[in-house]
Amino acid sequence: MRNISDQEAIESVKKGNQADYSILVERYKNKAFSLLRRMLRNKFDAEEVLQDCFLKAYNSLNSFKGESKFSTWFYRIVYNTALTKLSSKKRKIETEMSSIDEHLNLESVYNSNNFEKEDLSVMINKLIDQLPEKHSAILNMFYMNEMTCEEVSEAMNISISNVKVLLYRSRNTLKDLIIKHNLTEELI
Amino acid sequence: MMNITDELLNKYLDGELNNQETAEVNSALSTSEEFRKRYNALRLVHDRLSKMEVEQVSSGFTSKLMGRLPYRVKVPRSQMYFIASISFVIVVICLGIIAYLTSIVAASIPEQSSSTGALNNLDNFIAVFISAMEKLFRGKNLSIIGSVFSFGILISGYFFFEYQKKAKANLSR
Repeated sequence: MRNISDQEAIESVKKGNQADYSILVERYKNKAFSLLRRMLRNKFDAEEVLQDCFLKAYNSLNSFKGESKFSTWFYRIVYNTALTKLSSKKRKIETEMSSIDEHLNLESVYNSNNFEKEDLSVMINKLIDQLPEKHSAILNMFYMNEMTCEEVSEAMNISISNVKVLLYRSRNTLKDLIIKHNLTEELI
Repeated sequence: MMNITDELLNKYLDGELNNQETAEVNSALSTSEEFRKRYNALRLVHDRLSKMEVEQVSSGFTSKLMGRLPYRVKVPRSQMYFIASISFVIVVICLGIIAYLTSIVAASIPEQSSSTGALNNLDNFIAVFISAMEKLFRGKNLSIIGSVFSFGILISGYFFFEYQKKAKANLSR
């Protein structure tokens, strides 16, 4: 893969070098797939939606003016496409600041899986999978894609303060569960 | 002493507190076992989340996607300049011919004011125009104009072929 910046790759594609789009695809496909897999909870759907996202981004490349990072712009497409997919499947999409009963959901997951102590990392991953779509999307963008709260707010089209509220809630939910089951020492 | 909420702990973890608040949290951390437990659990969550593994798409994803991309028709800027300059030269030549013919016709028709005169003027105009065309496209002049157009077509053809080759190379890269 050629070592060029996102902006250079985009300019090259705009000039007609279609093959250079594969640089962007290779760069973002796995991280975007992780985000979609967590939101849609299904590998097959995630891969199908990811194809659509890259096609949408390619067709809209002329409208990308470089005012934000390509990654932020692209994750906005990914997030919105995932929401559309979820709504088309008539899944529940929570409103931005609705209260959630995370403890109940996560508690049931924790108990039902009988995690071994050596699989605690796996347990954390499974718990994240049980968070509502918006929460898992924020955790993915913030931690896996190393986006700032400002970039996450731009990608999800919500305010920065709401990003922080959702981020804190997600962390606190996991934290409370760890405390409740005395996992701190085991995990450390 | 301030109330140490979960929100404050999160802000402490992200380094978003001011100096005074940070000092208060540090003090609470050193004195309260319960508070330390909460903070350690939160830091643990933060560390684990930072180490989340990226999942992999199936192999062949990129090639499958690239095969679905629509062909992007984009005329390179240099090609646009070339087409514009060739068009400009052709338009200038055509305008020159028209101006030349008009000047000959205008100089050859005498002025008449009556309605029969206007009819005569039209006859004269056609006759003079035809003779001027004959004069322009006869013998040596025809060779010169033909050579200029042929040269233009040859040059255009050469560059057009070169651009096609470049575009094909870009596509197969």
